[in-house]
Amino acid sequence: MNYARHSFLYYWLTVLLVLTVPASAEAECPELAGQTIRWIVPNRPGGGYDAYSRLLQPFLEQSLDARVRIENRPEAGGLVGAMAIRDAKADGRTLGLVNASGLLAASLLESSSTPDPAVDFTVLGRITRNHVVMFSGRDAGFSTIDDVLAVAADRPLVVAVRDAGSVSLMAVPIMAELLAMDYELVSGYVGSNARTLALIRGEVDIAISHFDSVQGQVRAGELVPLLQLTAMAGGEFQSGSPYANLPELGGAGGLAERRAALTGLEPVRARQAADDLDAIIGAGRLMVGPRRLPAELSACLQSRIGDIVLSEAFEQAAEQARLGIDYADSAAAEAEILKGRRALERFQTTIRAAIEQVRR
Amino acid sequence: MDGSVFDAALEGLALVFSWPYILYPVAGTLLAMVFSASPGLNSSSLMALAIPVTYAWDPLAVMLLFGAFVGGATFMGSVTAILFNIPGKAQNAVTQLDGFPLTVRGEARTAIGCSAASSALGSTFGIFLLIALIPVMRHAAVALGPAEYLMLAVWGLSMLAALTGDSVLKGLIAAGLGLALAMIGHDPRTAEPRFTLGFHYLHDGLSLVPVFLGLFALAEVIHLAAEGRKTLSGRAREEDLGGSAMEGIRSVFQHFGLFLRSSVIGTVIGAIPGIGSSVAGFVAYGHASQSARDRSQFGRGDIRGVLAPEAANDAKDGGALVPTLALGIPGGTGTAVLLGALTLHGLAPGREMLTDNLVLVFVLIWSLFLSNWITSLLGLALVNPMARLSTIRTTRLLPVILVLAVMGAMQYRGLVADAVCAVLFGIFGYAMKRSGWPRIPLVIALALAPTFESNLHLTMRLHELGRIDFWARPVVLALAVLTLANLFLSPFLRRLRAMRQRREKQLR
Repeated sequence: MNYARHSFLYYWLTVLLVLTVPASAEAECPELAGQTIRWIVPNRPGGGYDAYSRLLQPFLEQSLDARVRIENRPEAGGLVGAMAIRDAKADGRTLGLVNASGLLAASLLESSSTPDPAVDFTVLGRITRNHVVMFSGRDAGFSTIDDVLAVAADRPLVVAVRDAGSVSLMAVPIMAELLAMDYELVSGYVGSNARTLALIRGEVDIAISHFDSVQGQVRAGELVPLLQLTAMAGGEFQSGSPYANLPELGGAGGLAERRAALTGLEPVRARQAADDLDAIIGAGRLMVGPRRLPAELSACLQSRIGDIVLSEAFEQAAEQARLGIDYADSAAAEAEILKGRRALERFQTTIRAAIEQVRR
Repeated sequence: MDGSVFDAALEGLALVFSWPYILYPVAGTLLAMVFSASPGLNSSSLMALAIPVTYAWDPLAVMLLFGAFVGGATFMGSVTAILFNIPGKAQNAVTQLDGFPLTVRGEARTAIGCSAASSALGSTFGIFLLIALIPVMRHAAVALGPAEYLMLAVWGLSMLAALTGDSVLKGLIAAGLGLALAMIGHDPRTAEPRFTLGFHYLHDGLSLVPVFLGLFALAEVIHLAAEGRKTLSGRAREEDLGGSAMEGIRSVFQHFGLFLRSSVIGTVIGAIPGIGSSVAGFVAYGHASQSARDRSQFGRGDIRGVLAPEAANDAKDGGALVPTLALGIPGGTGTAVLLGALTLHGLAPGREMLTDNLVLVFVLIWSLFLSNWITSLLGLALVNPMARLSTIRTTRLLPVILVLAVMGAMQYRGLVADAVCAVLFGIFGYAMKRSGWPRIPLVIALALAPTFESNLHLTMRLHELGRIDFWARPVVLALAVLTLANLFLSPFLRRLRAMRQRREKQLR
């Protein structure tokens, strides 16, 4: 085996590049200099949210001249972490990364304590969108979405979902409506790993997951990607990728539009509905602070975070860590959340029917 | 095992012991030991911290370091559990049930010796089973599903009958209370909060570590203070302490059957993704008690109560690598972070890794193996100084234990509320101890109930949809038979044995 010699070059290069970041920043955040900032990650160590946060940590520390302490709060599917940010004092010393789509999904439950991503936080920016894909197990016999639809013509498809307040449950009934297929939900598969295992064991026909959560299993051929539910950030997949030429639900010529005749929807309306679904489940990973952060501090943090995420050093570090970045500034990210929220209102009846199916 | 696997195993072994690579597992083990012996800290945080530092390292060094992190973390947590009733990690919690009473009896050396030996041998068992499974790893990783997980939890819960102490009724009520407490938090199916009383803290249910620290460590501190005991062991000088590390090591071989069964339990449960790391120890403990002819000393300082969970806890690490390496699905939190590190270095677990990078897989396995042995050998070397702590006056030691227990509860998730929870359960645990209510059924029910509940829903739904045939699954049937044996055959045999003993006495 040919093992490369230990080289710290990249590491030190990254550190050096980190040191160059604040030079370009104009806004000052004197309130935070020398302070400790709690950065709340509503997920376990080792997951995607944790990886993004730890990637940001040294850059933020350098840029703000503050200590950033990562705090993992994975309880209740991330809700507790999101609540901790919402309920913290608005002094900039508690920030974090939340899943906007997950919070939108949870808001459909009766529980009044779920934070609303549109009003309960100060949005500082979006680090990436969610890219959600429908998968099957390799032994399920589905090679393409057409195979799935052929089976769905005969019987309801069995779909693995997390729970009644999850993105997976929220997406399935809308997708099924647009594809004119019947389905049976099996809830209780907490986490994409549990759904992946359910697919591999053949307990269910299909499941939806974030594209980056199951990359390993797709590369290993255990999972077969079938349909993109959200638009891919940055355009098309490269040829040779397991996702290359993967059909999309939304967009011009998307599957929703093509199946419009079966669903009884106007093609334009079907496409619009698929794009609405994209807005809901793609809303993404937001960097947030508590609501009512002082305007100056909020502007400063937005500016610093924007400078960091768009810097070459951060881009290199993200590339090395294999983390995709699809940055949106505060205004753009907030606009997307509002779009997702409005879209969610239109689908309420459909989603509530699915929630009832799970509760029965 | 075919030739290529054997060659890869040898090449991996040679790399682990080559210079300077040997430094990585040794340093990783020492770091993991420090982290895991500090109540409240855990090796997952250590691994998460190490990930950015290792970005530029070559994959071999990463495998060596992270293998050591996984392996080095398990044993040391049991030392604090034995000596102070404070588990270093959630999975060591069960060790304190009999480990600490052994310390109180002046036999800390025996308990630590037994813990070190069963840890090292248990991990060796788990690792060799893992190696044996490599050719069929994918099949092994997907062989068990919700139906088997459900029956495993049922089997574990059926052992509660053996842990009820002097009063079966009190034991069952305590177990019922444990099940009720486990209902607090989000419903795994509907996501609705249950019994949270409006507290955010209760949204994810009661965490096992603060409950355990309260029920046992803090309750014991109150008890020892109220009792006016001079030292933990009741002895003032080291020479007066009983037991020895050798006695502890010997006990593993005296109960070798139990050791093997506990290691199998640990490996199998470790291979189940998503089941809490403490479940293996609890099930093994329940099994040790259930299968013992004389179980009167369990909870009062039975060495088998240390042996079984320690063997299971360390064998679990090998099992946890089965789904991690075969499918890229972590068996536990430690392997989840390990997986993150591997992915960042372009290593995709799965078929490709088990064929193209088999040597690296073995490097990871041998590093895990080496770190388990380093921790156990260091533990054995330090038995006497560690046991000496049990001769320190309680007036000096109890405040330290109190602070460590409260801090341990708080540091576990960084929540002050966890410290409050530990204190409340401390008072409750002391009241239970004073009035002769068994605490063990409560915590075992609390530990196993989430596995039971979530998989009951899944199994019923999948059976209803015709996706699984519950009664046609061999492992389900085997576990059902074991459960029935626990519930009916064991009490029957026990009664038969008691009758025979009575008759023999009468004849004499």
